[in-house]
Amino acid sequence: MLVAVPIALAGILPLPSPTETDLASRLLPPFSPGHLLGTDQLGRDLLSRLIWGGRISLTIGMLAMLVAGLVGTTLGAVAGYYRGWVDAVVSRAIEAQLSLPLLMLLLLMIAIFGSSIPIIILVLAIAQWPESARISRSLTLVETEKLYVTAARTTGTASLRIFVMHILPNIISRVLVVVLLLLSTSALLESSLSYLGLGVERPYPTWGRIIADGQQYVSSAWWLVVIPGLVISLLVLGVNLLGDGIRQKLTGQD
Amino acid sequence: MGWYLLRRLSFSLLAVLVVASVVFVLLRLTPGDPAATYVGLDVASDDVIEAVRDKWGLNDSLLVQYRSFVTNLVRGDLGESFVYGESAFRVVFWRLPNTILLAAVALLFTVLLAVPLGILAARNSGKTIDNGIGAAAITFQSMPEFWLSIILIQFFALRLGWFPTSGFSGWRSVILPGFTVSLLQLALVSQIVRRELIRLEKSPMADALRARGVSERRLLWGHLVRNSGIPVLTVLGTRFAMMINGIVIIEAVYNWPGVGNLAIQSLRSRDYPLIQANVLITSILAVMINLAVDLSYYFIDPRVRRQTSR
Repeated sequence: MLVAVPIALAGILPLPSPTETDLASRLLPPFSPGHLLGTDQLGRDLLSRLIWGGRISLTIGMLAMLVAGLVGTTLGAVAGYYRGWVDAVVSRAIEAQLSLPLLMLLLLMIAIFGSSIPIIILVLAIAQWPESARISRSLTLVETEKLYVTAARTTGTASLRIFVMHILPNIISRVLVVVLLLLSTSALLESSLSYLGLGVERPYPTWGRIIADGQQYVSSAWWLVVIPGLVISLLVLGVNLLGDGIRQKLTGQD
Repeated sequence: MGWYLLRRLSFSLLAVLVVASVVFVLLRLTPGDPAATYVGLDVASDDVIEAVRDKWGLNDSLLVQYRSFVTNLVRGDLGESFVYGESAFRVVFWRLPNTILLAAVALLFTVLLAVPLGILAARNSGKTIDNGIGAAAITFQSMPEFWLSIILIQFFALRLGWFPTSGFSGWRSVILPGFTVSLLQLALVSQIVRRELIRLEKSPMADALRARGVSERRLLWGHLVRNSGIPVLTVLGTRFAMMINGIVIIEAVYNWPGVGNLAIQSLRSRDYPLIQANVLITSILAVMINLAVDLSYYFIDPRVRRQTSR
């Protein structure tokens, strides 16, 4: 929340421009007049850069989460419900992806197709879908065995109708928790890509890029590295705690 | 057992081959010209670049290139690195021990940190110690790995001067990156140890042992910890496989001379054979580690052995 609210309000808040350089006020420490969190090596306001960067990082993270969640959940649930060859294909794909050097392949994709925002989202989604597919598959497997499904079958309810009307609503809340946690891994992965210089291109100030740029000044201007890192950690921690909290509520245990 | 192994192995090999082919096709779609990158665009004439392209077979049709790639692959020849001018296999292979060393040290630190903390948390479950360990673990898990690395380098390497900042110069170089990786794994492993111990403590087995007069101390160390071994081992094994593939970023920050760092460099210089060799070798390695983890159950858990021999 602490992170999310200022980002949502970025357009309204009276902040200096994130890309306006002011060489006279380079590397100002936090709490300087006019620059609450200080400035970077080109005199750009850090707070403003963080907030604008957050808009990009969060948008990418959320879209990646949505795509991965949607694709993974659907594939997993279909595999768990219909079994047979669909299940075989999906399960093998999940297994294969978990045992292959995924990060290298993702870096390769970015090197080839460029680092536009849609490509980054796609790459993050590819990295994440097995997680949601696995959970929705196993939950569907358990749910399908339950008595009410058999009851619905014997009363002649259509197979697809059972799937959509009965099974999906029963698994969806627990799947959503896992999907929510994908946001935190998406955010971390996105910042890593930006740090490696393979994220969204300049002049967008993503969080990982701000840290990478600040790294060479870290001994004289610690805030350029420490503060953006704390912001990422805070966001991810918040999402993780939220996910854990919901899960505990759902299952009634830890 | 034999059939199971054979099936697993053949599937794994198929997956590796598919990956190799995908990488091959992806690389050929790349806009950049490796010959031009290698020679240096501004200095070389078109003739020189053309000669280099000919030498590397880049002027042949895609199908011809793929056929020679596969036949060479079967013969164990992964081609020559454009940049290093020697066998791509050897370039990767030389760096492999460094990555394995780093992953092994990281795994060792993870076990040394996470298992005792997990046991401590389980014994004090619900108390402040348990909550504190949980909170610390989840905090580390929420940090970007490159950021944690930079902070640790600043503190331990630059301020305290205990370790070198980057590169590889003796055993002390491996400690800081290994420690960084283990901090990131802490949450997962310690929570699994904790969960397993709490589950086992309430199991009929624990009750039976208590009824027989086994002391709490012996119950914990002799029986519960041992029985929690399988799930913990599974996680550690898959983590190890993931580390071999996934410490690219840590290797980059610490400039560690491993395969991950090599991958980033070869991507930048568009060194096709080197990228292919890298992906292929690390895939095979990861597949083998996952297989080894599965096999190890057979030796650790008598129940599995009985099931499979039947």
